[in-house]
Amino acid sequence: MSVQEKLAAARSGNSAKPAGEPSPAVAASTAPAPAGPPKTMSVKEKLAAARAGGTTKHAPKPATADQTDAPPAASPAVGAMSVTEKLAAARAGGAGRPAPAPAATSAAPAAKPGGMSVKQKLAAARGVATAPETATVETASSPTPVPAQVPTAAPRVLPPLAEMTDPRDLAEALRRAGAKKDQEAAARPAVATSAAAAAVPARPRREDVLGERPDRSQVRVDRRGLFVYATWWVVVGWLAFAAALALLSAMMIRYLFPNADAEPPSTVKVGLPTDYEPGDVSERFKDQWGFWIVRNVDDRGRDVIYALQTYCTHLGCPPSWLPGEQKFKCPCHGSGFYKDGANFEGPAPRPLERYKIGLADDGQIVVDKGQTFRKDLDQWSDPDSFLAV
Amino acid sequence: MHQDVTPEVLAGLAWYYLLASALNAAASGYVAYHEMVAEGASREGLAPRTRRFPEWLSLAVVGLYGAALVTVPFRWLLPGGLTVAYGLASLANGLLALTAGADAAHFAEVHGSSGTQADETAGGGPSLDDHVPAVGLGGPINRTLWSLVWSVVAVVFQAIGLTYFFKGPLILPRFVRAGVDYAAGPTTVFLGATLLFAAVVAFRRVFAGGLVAFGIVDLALLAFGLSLTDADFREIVAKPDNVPIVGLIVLVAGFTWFALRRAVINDARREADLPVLEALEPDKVLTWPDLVYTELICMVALTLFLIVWAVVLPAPLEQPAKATEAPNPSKAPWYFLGLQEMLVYFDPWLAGVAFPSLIILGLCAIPYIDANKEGSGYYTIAARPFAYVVFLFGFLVLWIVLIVLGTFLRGPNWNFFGPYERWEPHKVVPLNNVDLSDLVWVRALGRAKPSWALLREAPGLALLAFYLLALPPVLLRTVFQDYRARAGLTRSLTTVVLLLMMAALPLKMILRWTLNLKYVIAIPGFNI
Repeated sequence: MSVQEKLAAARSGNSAKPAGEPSPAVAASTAPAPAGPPKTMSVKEKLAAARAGGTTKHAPKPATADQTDAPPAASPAVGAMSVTEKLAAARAGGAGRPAPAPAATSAAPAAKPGGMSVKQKLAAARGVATAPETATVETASSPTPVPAQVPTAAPRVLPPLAEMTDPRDLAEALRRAGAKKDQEAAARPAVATSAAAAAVPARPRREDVLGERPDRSQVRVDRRGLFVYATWWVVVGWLAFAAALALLSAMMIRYLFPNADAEPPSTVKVGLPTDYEPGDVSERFKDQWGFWIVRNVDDRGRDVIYALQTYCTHLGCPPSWLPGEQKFKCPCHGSGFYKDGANFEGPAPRPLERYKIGLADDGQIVVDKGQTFRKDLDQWSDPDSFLAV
Repeated sequence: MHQDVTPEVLAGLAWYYLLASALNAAASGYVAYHEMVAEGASREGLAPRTRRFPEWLSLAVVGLYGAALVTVPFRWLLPGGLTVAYGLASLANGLLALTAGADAAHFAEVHGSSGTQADETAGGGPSLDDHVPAVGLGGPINRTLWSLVWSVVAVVFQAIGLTYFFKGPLILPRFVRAGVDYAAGPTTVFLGATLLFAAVVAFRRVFAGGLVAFGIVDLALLAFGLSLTDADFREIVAKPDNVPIVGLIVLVAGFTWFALRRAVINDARREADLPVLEALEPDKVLTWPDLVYTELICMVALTLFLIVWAVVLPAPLEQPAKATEAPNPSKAPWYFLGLQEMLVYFDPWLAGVAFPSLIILGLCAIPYIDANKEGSGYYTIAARPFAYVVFLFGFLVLWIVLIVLGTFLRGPNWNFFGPYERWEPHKVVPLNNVDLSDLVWVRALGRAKPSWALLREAPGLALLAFYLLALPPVLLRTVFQDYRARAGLTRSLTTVVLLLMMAALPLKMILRWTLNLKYVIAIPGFNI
């Protein structure tokens, strides 16, 4: 007689009388008769009755199993009953109860031989009435102890994991899960054997799984769950990132082709040639346009007007026109230029540059900043570089 | 508009000379009372001192300065409070200086009469009274004499300060200023700095002595104080931009002198087969508290200093930036003014890119081309004169002097102005420069320059080829023969080329000043 039987017997008040040799045939047929007097009922009967009472309320699957009374596998002897069956029984018993956790926990120590998937174990630990494969394996008259009444194996009553508030509960649950994992690891070779394969449970149906889908806080417990969950989030995240990047790139490329060209016009009319006295250096256009208009006598004795760029050829500082000394002088490094733009002192390596100059149809002078003329390249003889008056 | 002295300037100068006087009074007290033990000397065997700083004197000086410090913030309570404070402080200076001088004379008398007083030396051995400077710095000094000298200087400075305080317009004579301005020029400044540097290195034993150094400090204080009476000088020196340079001069001079002094002492000690000063120091000190305390104190002091500086000297913001108008003069940050000065003499790519890169590369190369194993871990000049002179010439003359020149002596249009000269934007300085090709073809040969660029620049190209290709082998066979034997061809060649590059700057400057030479080679885009 197994311990469970003894315990069950003790519970039912027949502690003194052992339950004799268990007969496997009893269970299935007599299960739906819970009303029998305790004295005459065997332990198995009592258990079956208890289970039936519990399962019929809530969980449909075990109930149907009970009703059909046709387990595909032959009802095993009590001693030969597989762990899966025992657990299924325990789970079925717990399904209708308000505090189902003890059922699972009490079953846990008995789970040594293995044959149970991790998911099942977890489901058991969670105490949720999933009733997975039990529909097929259910043996109504299994002698599994009625969990709620087992006094020794469940020292601690754990609420469902999701509702846990006491950290000690959580620790306990973790400890048990760890113990189970160890056992499973120890029993793995056994699983591979055909004996275990005989009891391979059918896959749980999808709606059942959905019904107990772990919420976010439980994802951590099940790594495969995490993987499954992460996948589509990752895809969505990368898609969003790629979209944002593409949008940003498009904006940047678009930025390179502005709608309006803010470049100021390169040509400007600076008035009639007669506006400039001989020898004048006009600073009117220095600030906005960056050139001086100079009327001067050139090397060949011609009276010419030209536009000198206001950037020092040394490092680009703007020189100042000093009328007293009749020269341009750079404040940065002291380069000096004559009125015709030729450098004569300081570090500037070459003369100031001239802009293109010409006459418009209305007789005004037009300066075009789009073209420059350098003396060191002999460009000052170009007719566009000066305007003969 | 430019007044040489205003009441504010006079008041400032009065306090300036008060501090100068305090410095000299402290020096007098140091020489008179302090147990002076020279660097590297041991106290062992020296009889106890006969000199003590009188307690009443310390009480009096601290009390007078304290009273002056208290009076300054409460001067609104007391009419003429500032005068009272100044009087108290100057009284403390005079008291300290005169008492120190008198006591020094007294100690000398007691010491000379070989002792009748209780705390004197017993026996005829040397005592802490007899100050013998460190090895290499000359014989014993006459403490009485030097205490009296610094006392007199302190009293004179205090008298000058009092003159300014009572509005005595003591200003630098005009002819002195005119003379200095006349003599000043880039040439004089650069050559003067070079000569001064050579003199300091040559007569380093003289300069390393504390008395000579302090005398130079006094002269500098006097010269600076007198120069401050000139409005133009004051305007440039007191500009918030330029104040760091004044501090930089003091710091550079101080640290250079300190290193020079240690080197002179070490050299003399090595000659006398004594361990160098650094060997006498303990090898290791504790991180806590020695290092951490020092760092903490430095941190606090520096923070305080920076805060005071930031409050007292506001940031020198100028007019809003404008693309077509540059401030005149347009100056780089002070630490770049040496480079900006180089830009006057060289093409931008050379002075702005090539030379700075070469400076950095050359500094990086020093550890690899240095074949001299002497002088590691201690100051010395005699063991490595070449390294010392070359490095300090590059740092002091070619960098610091150029910064000072660019800061104080370059005015509008980058013209040179004397220290007391008005920054006149219309000053006309003839800067007509000619290229080497002009000199050769036009002036020497009396013909027109060839139009073909390579022929036109042939003299410059030849000169460059000589300088960079012919000179290194010649130098390696003559001056650097020993170095080449020690260091090998690669290192010695690198050293010589780097040296020639370094020498190119002063050479080009001299050519500019003497021949108005603009470029040796003037090919557009490649000017040297």
